[in-house]
Amino acid sequence: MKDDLQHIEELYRDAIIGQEFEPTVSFKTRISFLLMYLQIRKIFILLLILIGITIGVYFGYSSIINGELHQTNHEAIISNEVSENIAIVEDESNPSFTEDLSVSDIIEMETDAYTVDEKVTKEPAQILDAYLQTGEVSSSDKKYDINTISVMNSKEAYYISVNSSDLNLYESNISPVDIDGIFSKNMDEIEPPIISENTLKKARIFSLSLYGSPSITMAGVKVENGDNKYLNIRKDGESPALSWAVGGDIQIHLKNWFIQTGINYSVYRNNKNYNYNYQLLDSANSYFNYDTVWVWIYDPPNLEYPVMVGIDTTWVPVYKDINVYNRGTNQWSYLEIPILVGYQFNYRKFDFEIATGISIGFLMNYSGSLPHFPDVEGMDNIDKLDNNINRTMYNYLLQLGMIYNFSKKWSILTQPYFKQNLQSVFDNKYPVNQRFSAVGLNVGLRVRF
Amino acid sequence: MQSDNEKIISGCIRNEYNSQKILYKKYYNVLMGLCLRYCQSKAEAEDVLLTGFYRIFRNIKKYDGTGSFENWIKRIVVNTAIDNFRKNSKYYYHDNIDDFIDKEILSETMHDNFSSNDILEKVNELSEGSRVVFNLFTIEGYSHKEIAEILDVSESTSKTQLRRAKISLKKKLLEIGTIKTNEKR
Repeated sequence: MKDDLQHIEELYRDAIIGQEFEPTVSFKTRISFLLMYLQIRKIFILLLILIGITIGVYFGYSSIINGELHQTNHEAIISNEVSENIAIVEDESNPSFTEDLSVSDIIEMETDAYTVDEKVTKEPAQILDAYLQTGEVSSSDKKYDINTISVMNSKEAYYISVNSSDLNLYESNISPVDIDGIFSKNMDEIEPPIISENTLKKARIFSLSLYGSPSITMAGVKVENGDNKYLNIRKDGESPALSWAVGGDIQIHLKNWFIQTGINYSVYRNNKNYNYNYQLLDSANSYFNYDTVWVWIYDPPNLEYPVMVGIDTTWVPVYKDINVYNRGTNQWSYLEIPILVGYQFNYRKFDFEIATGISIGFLMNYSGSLPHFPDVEGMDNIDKLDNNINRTMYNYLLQLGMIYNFSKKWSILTQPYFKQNLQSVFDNKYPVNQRFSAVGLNVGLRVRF
Repeated sequence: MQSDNEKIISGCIRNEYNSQKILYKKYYNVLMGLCLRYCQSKAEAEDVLLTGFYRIFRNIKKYDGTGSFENWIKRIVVNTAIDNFRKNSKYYYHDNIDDFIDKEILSETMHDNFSSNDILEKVNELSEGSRVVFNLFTIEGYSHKEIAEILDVSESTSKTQLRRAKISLKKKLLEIGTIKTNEKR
């Protein structure tokens, strides 16, 4: 029995030797992604940290901006419009009023009142009207401890609130008529949107763009040791091709400057139309040419065969002409992460920008064929060069942009760009240096937040 | 001069894509076979193998060159497979009623009229617990003490599982033998 059980172990050990397994397509894909991830792991982690920091900064900055924006709106109102009122008050020779009022005082007072206004159930205009008519504030209105002056506009209403006790309005000698003059004059003159779009736009430091891009790509080829035959065939047979990219960018705006990063899938293609001949040795038809036949005759006594023959021949190789006709498209696809620095300025509803930087590309896919190097005898699938292909690619990027802002948040962008591979698609061990350059146009949508 | 393996290893330590790809292609077969012995399905084995490769690439710099590299990576993948097994052990630890010891089986003599595939197939039919112990003991060469530590079971459980696996296998192989003998007749 023991022997049998022992035997089973041996049989099993023998059975597992020489088992063959083919990786499934799904496994191949996943291992490719794993290997790709190992290449970009550090960048990926760095990006995650950057995104984390960015989100942190964004929320921190937003809360600051909200506070500043609140203050800025009041400053804009007070400085642009109320200061005029103060000047008018000065003309009306009301020292008690003007002495007490500086712009900062008014801001402070207004801010106080602003919060109180929300509790006011009676329309501020009604309180003012009552005061203008009677010359005094009714006891019922005094309970609000506020005297509010509204500046009305046909489209939108903005108001300035001034704490009445701080203004010492009741003790002042300003007549209702004066006040009426002060404010009625400005009612017509005040431009409605005091909270400007610029003010709001400054608060939006992030923008996210999604785009698609047709492009023209072209492969520049150089060969070490100046192999002209190969180079000429490549240059004669290849031409620029229509390619494309799709992706998304995020911009972080710091005044007019911005930093841009994102991710995109870029395809580089070049058309090929190779048509060339090469000669291949036709071993079946090659032959020996018998040049000379030498015959030596000996006559030694013990030699059975006294004749020796020497044949002097020449090998005549016969070549056959092979014509290579290959057309189609070679394609290389990369997942790219651009990092750009740019400058942006605004003109009416348009933003114009210029940006430059680099992008790091990770090879995702490639297909096509190239003439065999160095003897150009036939075509090789690019797969054959797999071990000589660079998996990462660095590109130089120059990007212009014209952005049409059709709302405070949304824009349409058009970005012509130029991109140049900074290294060969092949590694240093392969003597062919091939770099793509691309000219394209990103078209897409941008949202600010 | 560096051997091929040393070149691949040093390339992997430098995180070179091509070296990693060569390593994966070179050892896929042996490691996939290993994973299949510890997993219920090919899909699960692929998951384990992928995790195993990740661990190999992340830890390859820890390989100090002593001992066989193949054994080192196999040990990593076995550990990965065991982790996976332990994670799912609540589903796997069950006994098939057919596997209970039948003393008559022990006394029967086995004939070699079955193929390697028959054995592989029958090992795959074992309960997961028995199969893992059987593989760890028979193929990986772990002792019962080590198996007990790895699987967090007692040593006697490991011994029982192994014995159960062998007897169950014998029973299954006897059945095949009987069927084939009858077919010949």
